[in-house]
Amino acid sequence: MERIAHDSKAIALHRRINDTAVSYPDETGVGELFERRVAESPTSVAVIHRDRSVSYDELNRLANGVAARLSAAGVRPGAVVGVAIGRTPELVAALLGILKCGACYLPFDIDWPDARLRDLVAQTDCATVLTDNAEALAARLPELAVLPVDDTVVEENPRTAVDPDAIAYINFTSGSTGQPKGVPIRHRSIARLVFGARYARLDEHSRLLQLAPVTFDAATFELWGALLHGGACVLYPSRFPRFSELGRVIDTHGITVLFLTTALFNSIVDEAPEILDGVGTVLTGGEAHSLKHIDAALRRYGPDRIVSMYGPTECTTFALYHPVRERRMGETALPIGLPIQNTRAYLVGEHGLCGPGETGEILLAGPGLSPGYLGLPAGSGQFVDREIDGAVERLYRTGDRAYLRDDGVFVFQGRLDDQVKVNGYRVELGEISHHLDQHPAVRQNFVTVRETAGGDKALVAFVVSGEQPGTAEQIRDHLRARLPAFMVPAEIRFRDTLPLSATGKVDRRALLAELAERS
Amino acid sequence: MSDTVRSVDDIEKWVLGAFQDLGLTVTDVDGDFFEAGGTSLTAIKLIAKVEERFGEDTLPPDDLFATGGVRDVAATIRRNSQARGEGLDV
Repeated sequence: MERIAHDSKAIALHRRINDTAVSYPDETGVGELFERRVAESPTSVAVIHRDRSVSYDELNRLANGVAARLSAAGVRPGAVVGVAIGRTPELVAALLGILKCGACYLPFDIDWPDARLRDLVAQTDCATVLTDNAEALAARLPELAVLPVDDTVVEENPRTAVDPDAIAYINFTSGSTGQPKGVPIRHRSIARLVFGARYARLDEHSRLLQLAPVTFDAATFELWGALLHGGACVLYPSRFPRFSELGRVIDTHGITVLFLTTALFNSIVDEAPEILDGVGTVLTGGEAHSLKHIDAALRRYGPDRIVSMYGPTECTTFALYHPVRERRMGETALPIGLPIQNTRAYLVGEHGLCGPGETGEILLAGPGLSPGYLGLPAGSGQFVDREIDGAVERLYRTGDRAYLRDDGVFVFQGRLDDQVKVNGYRVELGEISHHLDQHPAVRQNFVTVRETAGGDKALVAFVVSGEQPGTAEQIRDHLRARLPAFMVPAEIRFRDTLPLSATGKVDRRALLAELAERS
Repeated sequence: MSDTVRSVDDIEKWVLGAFQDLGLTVTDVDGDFFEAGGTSLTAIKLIAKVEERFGEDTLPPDDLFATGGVRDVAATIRRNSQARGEGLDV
């Protein structure tokens, strides 16, 4: 067993910031935790969608109906069930029903290309899918059993006892080798995320907005943060958000907590800050925050209303949090903060555990950790076992660099690899490059991110032509058939060669400078 | 707001300008929001601009995501503004 070395200062600091253990219900699955809330207050509102309110009791009976149908269809504990349902109470009932029968949910986006859907199904051995678009999906995935959602209700809770260590859901993230990586998450990890929360007040009075696509792990917080506490989950009524409707939904339903991606948060602060005036706690994260927007938000909303959240999917949605209270003089980045409850964070540099002021890689541990990427052995990839402070920790290496302030607060310093965030989406540039390479019109390619004139981030690919001729549009079509839309570069630029920097790497700066001159 | 419904071309011009203000590289009314690099985030900004100018719900997100051409977007705005009985003073 490799041991992570430490000196007394470093270990003292880490012991202090990692003293995060609080008791939480980790003896059973999410389905039963929800059933406890149903028993406590069956008539409370669980889900709000447009003008429809669904009580805990009603949602429970719908979920039991889903569980019964799945069992009848041969779905057994441990099976993977695909979910492609619009943001409706039926979606929530489907997720709950899947968990209740001990199976795990795999959210699909119906807009993903066939090749990606088939890859996900194959990687997860998914044989069944619940959907509100059965006809279209059955034609695209003929080998799956496609179950259309319906309004079957069943009174009795299923008698399946679900182990808290069973897998609850699988999210996919971009993979640098060209194949997306499946991240399985346990029931226990969901409970760890929402109970004893340090970052926001979650209780039976909470009204959480469900805005994120379910394929995105922010939805884990939005759904279970409300439903395991007896609060209400307000489903955003349209598929895509807009300021006017977002403001109306927040006001009408008295949203107490919501999560916004950094990019969406910035746009709201710039263009429609009034819509967040009534929200108790605004959680925001996904990318490094801009100090300009944080300052404006602090002035408008006051201290402790905005909480910056950090965390990879591999550690169940959130790992670190930083309430925005004040800004320090000379600060050049908003800190990503301290570990949330039941989470341990380590900063590890070349010589071992970092002390105050030192820079290293962030490693995460605790019950939020995924058991490991799908199809890879448990100890492989970024998941490692190490001895720290006399005990063995299973750790996830985030690939994120940070330094530690004297008070133990982490400050993000960029990536160790070429993973990027584009408007909230986590993208491995290598995955795009891999698919570009497969096209006969591409001999060499380099993919990077640039800032548009409108202040958004956009992917741009530089391509050296291959043997066969091809247009940018043909290459984009090739990518569209294999990647989700957010991973298809908006621009493809042809070049005779790729410029190299003094270190022999492709000179990103030179390429971007050229781009700026031409436009 | 004027009572007269101006020609569609004025709305198209306005939409083209709005695309350009958002940093999209479109040069004429044959341009397309998504082809020019529009993202879900740019879409939110565009819809906010349109609603500020023409009124709420004049560019439903689903319509924009279905077809993002300058002409299509202008047609959607025109249709929804007329349905609301409001003048289009560009």
